[in-house]
Amino acid sequence: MDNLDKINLIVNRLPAPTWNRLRMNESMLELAATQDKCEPKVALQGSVCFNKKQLPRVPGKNCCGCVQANACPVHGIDFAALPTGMGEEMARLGEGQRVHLVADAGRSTAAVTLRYDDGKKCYNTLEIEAKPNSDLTVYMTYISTASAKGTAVVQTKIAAAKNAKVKLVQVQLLGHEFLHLNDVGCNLAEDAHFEVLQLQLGSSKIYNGVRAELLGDGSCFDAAIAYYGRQAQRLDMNFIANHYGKNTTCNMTADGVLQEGAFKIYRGTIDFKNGSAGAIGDEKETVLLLSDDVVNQSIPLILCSEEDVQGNHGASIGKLDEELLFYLMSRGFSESDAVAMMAKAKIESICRRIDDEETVQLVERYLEGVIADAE
Amino acid sequence: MEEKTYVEDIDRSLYDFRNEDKDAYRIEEGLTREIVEQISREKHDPEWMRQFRLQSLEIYNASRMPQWGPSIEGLNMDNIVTYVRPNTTMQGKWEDVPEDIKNTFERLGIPQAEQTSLAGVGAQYDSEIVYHNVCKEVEEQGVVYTDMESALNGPYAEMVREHFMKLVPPTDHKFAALHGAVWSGGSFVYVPKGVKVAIPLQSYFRLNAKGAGQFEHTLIIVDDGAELHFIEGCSAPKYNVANLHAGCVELFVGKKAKLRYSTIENWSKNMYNLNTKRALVAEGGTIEWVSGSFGSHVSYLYPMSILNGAKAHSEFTGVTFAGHSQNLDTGCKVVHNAPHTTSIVNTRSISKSGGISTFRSSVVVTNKAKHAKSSVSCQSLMLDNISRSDTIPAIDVRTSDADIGHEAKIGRISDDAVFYLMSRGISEEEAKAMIVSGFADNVSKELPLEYAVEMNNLIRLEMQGSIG
Repeated sequence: MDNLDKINLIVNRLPAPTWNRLRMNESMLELAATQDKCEPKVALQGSVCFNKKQLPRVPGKNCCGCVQANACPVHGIDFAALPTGMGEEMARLGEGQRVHLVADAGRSTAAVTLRYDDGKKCYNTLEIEAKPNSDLTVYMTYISTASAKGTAVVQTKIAAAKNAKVKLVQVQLLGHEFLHLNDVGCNLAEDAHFEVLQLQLGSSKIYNGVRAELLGDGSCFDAAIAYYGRQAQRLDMNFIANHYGKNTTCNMTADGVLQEGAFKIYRGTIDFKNGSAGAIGDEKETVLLLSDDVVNQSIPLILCSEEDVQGNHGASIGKLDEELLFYLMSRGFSESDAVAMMAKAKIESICRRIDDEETVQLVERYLEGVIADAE
Repeated sequence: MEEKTYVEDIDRSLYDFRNEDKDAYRIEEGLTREIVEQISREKHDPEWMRQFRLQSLEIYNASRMPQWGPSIEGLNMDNIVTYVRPNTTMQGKWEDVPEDIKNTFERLGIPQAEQTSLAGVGAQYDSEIVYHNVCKEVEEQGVVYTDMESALNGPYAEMVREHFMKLVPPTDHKFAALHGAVWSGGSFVYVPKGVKVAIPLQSYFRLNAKGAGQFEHTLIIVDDGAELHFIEGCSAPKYNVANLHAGCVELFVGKKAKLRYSTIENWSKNMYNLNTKRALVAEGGTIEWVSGSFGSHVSYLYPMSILNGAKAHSEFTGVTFAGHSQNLDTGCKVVHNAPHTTSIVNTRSISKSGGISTFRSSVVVTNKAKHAKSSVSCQSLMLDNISRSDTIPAIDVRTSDADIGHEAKIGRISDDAVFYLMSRGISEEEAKAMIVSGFADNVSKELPLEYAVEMNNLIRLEMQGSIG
């Protein structure tokens, strides 16, 4: 890591920049050194275990002379080289407190809870090797007290082998004064499937990046994020799906609500590389704007150098539909009730896809508190 | 080379012919203070314009090249001739225009179009307007349509000075500054209050000189309640050195006025087209852009609408066809800066034979734009595996009381559609050409018939040899 108390990072870069004056091409942030320990609580079930065999690699060298540069029978997957959504600059943070999991064929779950004390500045890394025909669900929860301050940097890297399925659920319920960096990257082999569900509900500043490399034919990436931006929160997102293999698919959705001076930027990129014949990419964003002091920025890209693909994106941004509001108010709901219902609905659309009851209840309790505050 | 696609006989030499530069005045290559001063002298600029040019040059020298967008490494200003004056003054009758220049415009169909379907024509050859005429009926309505140099020095001098490069200031970007320093030619149009000009006016720009730049300035003021359709066309012969087009279009649309600005851009494939177009729309006014981009080696083109009055409206309809050796970065920008403003963007882009087409847009809704509505739709068609098509739309909304929608699609020609046409006896090649023409119909149906035909001919030209 750079030997500085503070470090300036450029993160969440757009793969294809646009006009500089829009200030959407990337984000710069200043980060204090993350030297505190935050020991994650990890509970495993099924054919997943900790991997203690990962040997250190010599940086920049393919030390065993193996054919695949990013995987080696002796040293395993080269996770350092696995690209992530927030970008290369995250490497300047060095190595966080690492947990390395390996999932074998069959079903398994891993619950990773990161509980932050007030004032902590922590950097945690989760590396997951999903072996062929594995079916792993990972629940990651980031929690602190409502009034806690701190910095929570979490990087999750996944190497999904042939026909592996990985479902990553990330729920962020940190205190209002937190700075949160959430960086995800996944390399997908043939017929691998990676689904990521994210709820970004807490913190004052959130930088969230997710990147999927659809390397193998038939691989599939599904990303959904929901957020409730309020109290001058800043939510900065970058989703990238790079289609390399044939017949790959991706589906990225982002749904959220903004009010009370919140700022949000959503960057979503579908990139059809040459050779990705038969690929299909869909991207959709809806944003509900509830007050006049919010800022919504959206920049959904489709980049294409392959003829035989289908790419679609759509964005819908605006206020609560007046007819819907009228309908609800005519049924006895106040305007604030209606707004709360709509905000909750966006979050619940993700909750319905989370199979863990405990996680869902945690979210609902958190949300009740948030909505009560808003009223 | 044997043609692989059957089309009607279309002669590329329609556009790709050239005249010798004999008797023309060419300023030396490059861009220096002395050259800018020389241009100002040649054009008999008023003192304020001379100073403006020099200030623009300073801004140009201090500005950096864009870091996004296609590479313009092949453009070296040291090799560009910024001013070429043909050996003629501006004429009001085609018979008085020198033979070779007149023939040029006749081959392009301009005099014929003037007779059949236009209310006025301005024809620019290299750096100067060589022909300008407006029909009597339109003149009698009080419409002013003249070349920029006359406007700068005539009864409308103050109006021109008040508006010149206020919408696109030299500080906007490096090539706006270049334009401010070396602009020449172009048209000034003023349509008085309440006057509806029923028939279009047209300016046609022909760049004949090798290694030269064209920097025409178009300034149109449509006063309150008035209406105008303005058409712009351009072409150039192909050379093996770079040519540069850095024109500027400034449009002022008054209250409840309407302006349609149509362009078929067919520059040669050695051209760097770095054009800037911007419209400022007042309360209740409407600006309609209709844009077909077929030419140039590299294009940066984003007509921009600033909706500055309540209920102002903007529509942008465009098609871009990027073929072999082309990198066309086109799109549009809209700023909603007043309540109840609306905008619609509908674009199509086609990439073929290694061409690169980028749709780049921005929709900005400020805090003042309550009840603003915007809809952007972009469709892209890839015709092979060696081309590229990118869509880079940006949306920035700063009020809750707005309704903004965006959609984009990319894909290939449907096999089912081709099969259907072939089952009706149409060859595969012709079927694909038809489908691509149909794909571009968002623009062709907005153009007067002659221009729609020209546009479809350009598409067919590009589709030749596409099947192999």
